[in-house]
Amino acid sequence: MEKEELIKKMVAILSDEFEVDAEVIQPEANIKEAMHLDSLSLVDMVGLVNEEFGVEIKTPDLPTIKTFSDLYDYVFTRM
Amino acid sequence: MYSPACKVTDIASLIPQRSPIMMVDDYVIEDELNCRSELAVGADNMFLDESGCLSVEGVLEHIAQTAAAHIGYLHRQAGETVTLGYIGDIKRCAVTGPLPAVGMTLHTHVTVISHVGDISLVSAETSAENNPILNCRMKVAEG
Repeated sequence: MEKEELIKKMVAILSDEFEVDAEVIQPEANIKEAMHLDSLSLVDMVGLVNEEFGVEIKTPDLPTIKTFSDLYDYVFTRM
Repeated sequence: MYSPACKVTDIASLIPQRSPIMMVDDYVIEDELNCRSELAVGADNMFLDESGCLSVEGVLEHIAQTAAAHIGYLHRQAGETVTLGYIGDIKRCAVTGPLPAVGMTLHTHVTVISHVGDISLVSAETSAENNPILNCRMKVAEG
């Protein structure tokens, strides 16, 4: 999967799952703030990425994933 | 780290519930992410509804105890302390068949989807008499 395709798919599933406008999912936007994630919904995001892209986000890596751009890079380099 | 497809006989060491609210009779670990459990619905079950069937809340409690036992087992196998598991959230809960009556046995398959810190997201499917009766996603928080 090309990175552009990954981003398009990621935006679609995240906006659908977390019921946010796709326009708020900008590469440099803060993930937690844009999707109003708390500790419980953060687990949903990790599960979604695992199910949709087959990439397991390790707990110690989570603090390094602040923006959507960080998330795209993390997933793309591990697919 | 674990013995594949092994039946865990000391469930009481993994969850704090005791009769009559212990809702897991048998627990079998398939691998790190999957386990199966059973519960025979007895006439003394505290989660029976007015019609004598196990309530949805009872099925969810059975799933929660199964998931908590599985997470506790993995901790124990890793040489860590077994923690208590609490229901953090339930999503996509669908009742797909008639609730089980007294005398029936629940069969549940739990899969760990993700794990962040002290919170695990699991999916669960429960059947009785070969009929799917409920599926859901549940977050189990460790305390």
